[in-house]
Amino acid sequence: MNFAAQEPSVAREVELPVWRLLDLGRCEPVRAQAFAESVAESVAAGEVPNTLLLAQPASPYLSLGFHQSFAEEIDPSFLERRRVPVIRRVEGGGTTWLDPDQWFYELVYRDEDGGRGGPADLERFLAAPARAARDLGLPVDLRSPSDLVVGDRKISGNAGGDWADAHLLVGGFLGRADHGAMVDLLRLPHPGIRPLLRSLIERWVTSWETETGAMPSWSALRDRLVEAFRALRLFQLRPAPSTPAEEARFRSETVPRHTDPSWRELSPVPRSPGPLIRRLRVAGPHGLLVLSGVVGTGLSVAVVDGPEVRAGYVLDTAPDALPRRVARDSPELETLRDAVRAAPGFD
Amino acid sequence: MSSAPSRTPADAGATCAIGADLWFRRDADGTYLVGLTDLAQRRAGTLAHYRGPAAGRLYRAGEPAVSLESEKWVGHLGLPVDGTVVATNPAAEADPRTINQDPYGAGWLYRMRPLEPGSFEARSGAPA
Repeated sequence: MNFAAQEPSVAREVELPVWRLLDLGRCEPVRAQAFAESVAESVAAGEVPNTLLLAQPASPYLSLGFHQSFAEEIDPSFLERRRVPVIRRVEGGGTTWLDPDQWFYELVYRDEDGGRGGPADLERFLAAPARAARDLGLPVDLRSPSDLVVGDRKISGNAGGDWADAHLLVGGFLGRADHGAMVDLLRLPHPGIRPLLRSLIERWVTSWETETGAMPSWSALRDRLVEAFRALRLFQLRPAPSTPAEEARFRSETVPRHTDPSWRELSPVPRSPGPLIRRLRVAGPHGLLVLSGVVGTGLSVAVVDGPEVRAGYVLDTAPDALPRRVARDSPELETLRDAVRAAPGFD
Repeated sequence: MSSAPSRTPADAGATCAIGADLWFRRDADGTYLVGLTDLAQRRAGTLAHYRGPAAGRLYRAGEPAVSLESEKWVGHLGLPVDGTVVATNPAAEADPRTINQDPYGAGWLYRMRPLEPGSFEARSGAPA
């Protein structure tokens, strides 16, 4: 054994700040999603170190991005059928379906200690889950700014936010992807959009099971995640439990906030004037834009990769009619492209 | 002739910045217009969402009132001083890219009336 070669890394390890490793295990949805908000207040106050949380939701739920509209996003008939809770997270991104076949990692840290907050931190920290997956044989890469992908298909979504003077970065791996639920949960302005969306989700979203034929055990992935975060050489990790103050705050503030309809159903921000009535991001630059009055007088759909329109569809007013594909290089498609150029796409 | 978007606080008649992120301008009616500095909007990247504070409501300094999102990261900002919000910029809420394109002009965030006269200036170190 070459002790001389080990000394520098041991010395560096000693100098690294100590972060807490808080493994929540398998827990109720609101704890898996939002316990980090209670931790953020303790971290910001300096009562506990910066923290890496690990969690697995014990039952399915929906999570709205902070700026998503509950009324516009969620299909009420889906909620009636599935009876799952809806949790508005304080981080960004779109509406997501979360279930026990997914595993979460969440970082809570003070300004400057781990990063300054903002999209640059996503790239910095996501090297760890990408490495953990590769260590388990899955060739995962980061697709800037926030997705982990296998080839060109998303296997992990990530988002961030600032809360209580701390930064939060949350993400998770898809062990198994429930493409049906991902589509059916959404309230859409026309039923003809659903099959288009489903085909895109199946194309651009993958899972551990799809890629390898099996899901890894949570304990194996958890161990690899911890090792990969340590390997970033930004901090040491020491396991420690939650504090009584965090648990008390979670019960008295976090859970009531997330079960309060006024938080869940936060009024939507006014939409931009113009023909764009819905943006449906599937993964990274891939998604659908639903427009009104651009081709004919009804609804049309542009299938987009970033700023590029890959295909266009016109939706008949009859709800059971199939979408009509717009011919390539037709004036209709050009009209659709002009409208998309003026609208915010998926960069 | 079309005018180019303003790029410095002086272009908006702003008296001062608060930290690196916010600028403000005192108007004759005693209200203050507040916006994001060019540095802050560049650091944030292209903004996808802006939710302003509720008009008519009294906020305490630092109480979360404003949220901005870019590239799936949400920043929750408090107001710099205690006061009542007079208006939120509807154009910036409808298209947050306005904040990127014209941070000292059309992309202002909100207008407020401070509870204590001079509190903005005290916060920034500028003469009242």
